[in-house]
Amino acid sequence: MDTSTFQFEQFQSFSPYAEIGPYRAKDYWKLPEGEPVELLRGRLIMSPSPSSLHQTVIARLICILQRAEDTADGLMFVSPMDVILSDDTILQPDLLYIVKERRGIVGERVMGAPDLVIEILSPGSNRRDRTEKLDLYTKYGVAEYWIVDPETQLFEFLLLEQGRYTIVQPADNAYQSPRLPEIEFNLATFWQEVQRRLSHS
Amino acid sequence: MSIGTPQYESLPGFSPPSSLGPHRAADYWKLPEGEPVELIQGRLIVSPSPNEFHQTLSALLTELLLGASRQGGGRMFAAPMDVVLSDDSVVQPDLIYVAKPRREIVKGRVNGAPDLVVEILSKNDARRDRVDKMNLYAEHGVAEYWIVDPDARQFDFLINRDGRFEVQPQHDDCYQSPRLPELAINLSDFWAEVQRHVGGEPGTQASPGPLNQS
Repeated sequence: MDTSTFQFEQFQSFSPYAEIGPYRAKDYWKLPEGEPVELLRGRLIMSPSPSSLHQTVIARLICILQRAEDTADGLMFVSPMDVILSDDTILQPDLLYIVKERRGIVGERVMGAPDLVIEILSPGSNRRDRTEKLDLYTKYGVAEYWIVDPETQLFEFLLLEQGRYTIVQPADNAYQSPRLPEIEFNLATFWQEVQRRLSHS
Repeated sequence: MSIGTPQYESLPGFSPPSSLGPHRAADYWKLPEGEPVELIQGRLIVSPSPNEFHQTLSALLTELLLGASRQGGGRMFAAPMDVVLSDDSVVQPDLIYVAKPRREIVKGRVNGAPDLVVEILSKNDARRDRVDKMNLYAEHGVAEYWIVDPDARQFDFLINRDGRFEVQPQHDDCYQSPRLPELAINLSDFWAEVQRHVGGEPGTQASPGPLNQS
């Protein structure tokens, strides 16, 4: 199948598709390298162009994950990095972290579920990140999933427990991952830093 | 501990504070009736005025929950309805459902955690519903919590497990509560119905939704 015939999904419906779409990993690999595309249950989706706010948030999260790498010998990646979850699902999370013991899943690409995935919402990706992707990360066993909304300065920390995500609420602006103690930060400081970088003074 | 003059706050942090604010239920009852205020862990928070789209969703969800109450024998209420969760927390959720076995908690007001709370997000206050109120509902035993995002046309279905909310995965169009079978919704039908009420061609936009509506 020549890639010019590929159809990219717009996700117009208001609920997840029950059935798997037509594309598979081999179709995905045919796409030009560097295309911001993901393969989600057999459907090809284009990632939106990230905004300066989105990229600033990513930059601050990289700092937090790099600290974790240094502390605990884990491995972090920032998008674009292919995470192969199955033959019909290859995603490019905004950020991911893999603990030292599981570094073996990293070859040329990441083959399997990272220990932490972070998705930063953009207008339009909201539903996909909260429903389709959440469902996939649950299914493939991503132990911890953060949803970050830069517009409302919101973090949601989801921990996989017995096959479902439970929402963890930090108190007093301090979060430390219960599973990955090397990952910790202060939410108030975080958003102040983002604000500082984006304000024009 | 209660104080004489009410002090209104906007919720300050990016996560719930661990300490209680200064106000209690006694202060809340002294406020003029009909004030759009909630008492959340000792702090008085003014609710934003809901807009036209919010109210449309509220009306359609009322219809859904009325159907549920006819089926299951429970009771539903739309805001404003005081829900007394504790001495430091009295809230007015957008919608609530109390299942048949627990109908006695409704006496004038709702004294205790409803079986279902539904909150419709306001654009600028998502954090209140997703963080502070979520924390409150989790701690006080609200068994099920639905968060509706009007702009993204998206529901979060959350079930309380030992004081924390568990996200229910969405595989397709339909959701049915694992706890109360009368609480069920077809998402495609619901949002199509919303679209019909709001006007415009159905299905022409998945997002960003009515950002132009104030």
